[in-house]
Amino acid sequence: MDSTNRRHPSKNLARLLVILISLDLLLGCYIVWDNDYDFNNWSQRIIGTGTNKMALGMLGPGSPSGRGNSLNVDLLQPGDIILGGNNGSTYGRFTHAAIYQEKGYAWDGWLDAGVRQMKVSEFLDYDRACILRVKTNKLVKTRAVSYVAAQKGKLFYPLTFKKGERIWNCTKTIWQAYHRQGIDLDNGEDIWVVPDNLYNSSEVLVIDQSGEI
Amino acid sequence: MIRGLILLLFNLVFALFVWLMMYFPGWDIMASLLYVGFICWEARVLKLSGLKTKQIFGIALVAQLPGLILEALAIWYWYRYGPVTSDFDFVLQMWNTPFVPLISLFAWPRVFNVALGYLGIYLCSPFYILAMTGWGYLSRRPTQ
Repeated sequence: MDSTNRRHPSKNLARLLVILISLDLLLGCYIVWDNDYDFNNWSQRIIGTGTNKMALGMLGPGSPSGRGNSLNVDLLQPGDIILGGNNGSTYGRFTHAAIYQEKGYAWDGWLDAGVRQMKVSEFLDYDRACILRVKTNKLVKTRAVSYVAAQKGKLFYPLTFKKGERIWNCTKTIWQAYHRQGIDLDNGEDIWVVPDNLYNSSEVLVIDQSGEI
Repeated sequence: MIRGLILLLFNLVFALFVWLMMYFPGWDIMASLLYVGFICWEARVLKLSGLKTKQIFGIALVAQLPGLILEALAIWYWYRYGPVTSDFDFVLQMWNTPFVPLISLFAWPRVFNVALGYLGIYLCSPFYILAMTGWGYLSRRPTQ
């Protein structure tokens, strides 16, 4: 090999690293611009909330205290949204979401299982929980449940963006299931969607809630 | 050692890159493939610069040390507290973000309530080390 005719591999690597970091910055700026991010209400956005919580040492979905809650799951109807939350979470009061199917079963997204069917009784272990009912007709709700069920087994990734139908988190499945039918459950119109967005949505009614809300 | 640390830094920068590319569905897969190509290219460059296969293995091992440590911690947590996901699993998935779009291409079946795609996250660091070492082994050394 004639080394005089070849660039040193470390130099190539350094150049590539600079290019990649620049691309990361450009992409980040583009995404912020594309979503009309208003930095005046930074603390109300997910990224602002997350940054503040992380500064307080809160990283991840929090841990249950063991007290649980007494949510009345008998009130659930197909298409209802169930939220659960523990203290210490990075991204809000509520940390998990599922859409109710029937007979005590709901659909959610979980790290080790992807989009899956689960028992709603699991929500009773959270420090707080609530039932939300979307202000729409039965057909829309049935379609929403079917849509989430059709994503069964697909990958869970906590920081997934709203766009795309290949990578999910627990809230995005529900948001997308209603959004594609013309109902936007995210009033904040953020880059991501988290359970608190669903709770604060004007498109839902709070049917029941329990624990430290 | 330093080369391994530089590649570790690349993993972090690529993780950010691939994650941001997820904003453009479809392009994230290209970014992920680019990373796999980068690993193979780097293995070849190292071989051409005269390193032995076991040295390339050592570099890959250093580059994936955070992933391997996180895997060990996550497995320990499962063993200690039963079959529950921990924060280690979440951080491990973040670390392996460059491979996430490729894993997401399939709806994985579940075995004992665990998705095989999730177990794939545990294979990313060994795959990285194997791919780099294997590609380095297969790359021909320059003729004198």
